[in-house]
Amino acid sequence: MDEISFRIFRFDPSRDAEARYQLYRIRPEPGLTVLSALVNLREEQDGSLAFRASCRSGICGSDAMLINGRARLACKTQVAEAAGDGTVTLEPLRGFPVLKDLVVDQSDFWEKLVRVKPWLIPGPEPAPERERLMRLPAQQFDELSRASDCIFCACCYAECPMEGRHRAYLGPAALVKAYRFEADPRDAGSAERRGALDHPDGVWRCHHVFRCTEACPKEIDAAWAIQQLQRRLAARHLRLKGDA
Amino acid sequence: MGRGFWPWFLQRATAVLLLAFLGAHLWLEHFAAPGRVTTYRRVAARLAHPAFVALDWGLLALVVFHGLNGARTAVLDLGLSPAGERAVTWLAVVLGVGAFLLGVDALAPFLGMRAPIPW
Repeated sequence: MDEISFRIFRFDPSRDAEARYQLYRIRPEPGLTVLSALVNLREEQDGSLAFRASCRSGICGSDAMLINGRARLACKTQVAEAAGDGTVTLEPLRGFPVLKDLVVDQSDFWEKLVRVKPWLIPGPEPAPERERLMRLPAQQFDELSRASDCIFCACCYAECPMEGRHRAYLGPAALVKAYRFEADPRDAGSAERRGALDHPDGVWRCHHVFRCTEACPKEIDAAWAIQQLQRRLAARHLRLKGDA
Repeated sequence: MGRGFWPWFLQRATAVLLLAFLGAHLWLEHFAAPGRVTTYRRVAARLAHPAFVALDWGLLALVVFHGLNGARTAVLDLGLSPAGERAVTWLAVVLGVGAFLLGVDALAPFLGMRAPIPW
């Protein structure tokens, strides 16, 4: 393959007054991913280049970044596919403070995730004498599986236009995780989550733009999960069912 | 709780009701008496009956609420401060109540004219 250009966002808040883009040129091997290209660039051309990565196989969600303007995982994106006109532009995820180059501060993202209590909250039944078996029918497990594959890469969060305007909005990732437990028949934590979910900056902020669903590298239908939460809360408000 | 729910729910509920009211409105205006020319006198006679006025007032209320609530949602999506959001909400309330009262005032004089339905 011919030589291509990488146009990479560079910013070191301890040194730079403003951000800039730096051009690098590489001759990619067939099958080279954007993450591998970044590793090569750092090892062979510029050791100061900062990016976050770990598993290199689309499991850890660490290396999400804007690739030609879209939030994607660098390890799951082929350079040959991304370099349409011979240039690949890499930028940090939208909506996060930049720590350095392509590394962003995700504190806000994680704090919002914790607010929806993304863990199984059991009912008030007395503690069992032996191990508690919480089996789930296969059909319900399949429904939960749709929402439980999230790797917390924050691609959905970076693509959501509501998140860009409303910094207090919980965002798709936290809501998908909330749905994962709200839909679990073994969970009894709806009342504890309701304060965060049933709020103008909870599920009601979503206007179904579907950018989250499009962006998810694990193909989770985040917009669908948010709609399910809205339906459940609407039913409770209207006293159609549940613990209103 | 409910601050986010009610604008969300009522936007959808009014959308569904609008379909029914608009259908009734179009049917009355264009299909109930095919071939008849719509004149001021015929419309005035129809509006003498409370059911027709209620239909038009209901349609007006739905249109005003749906339009202003939708506009309010779009403006709030610009990311205003809490005080700005309250100001936009109250502006929508004042505009909505004002528009509805104007419509009520416009149709009220026709009530009780006791004319026969013109079809």
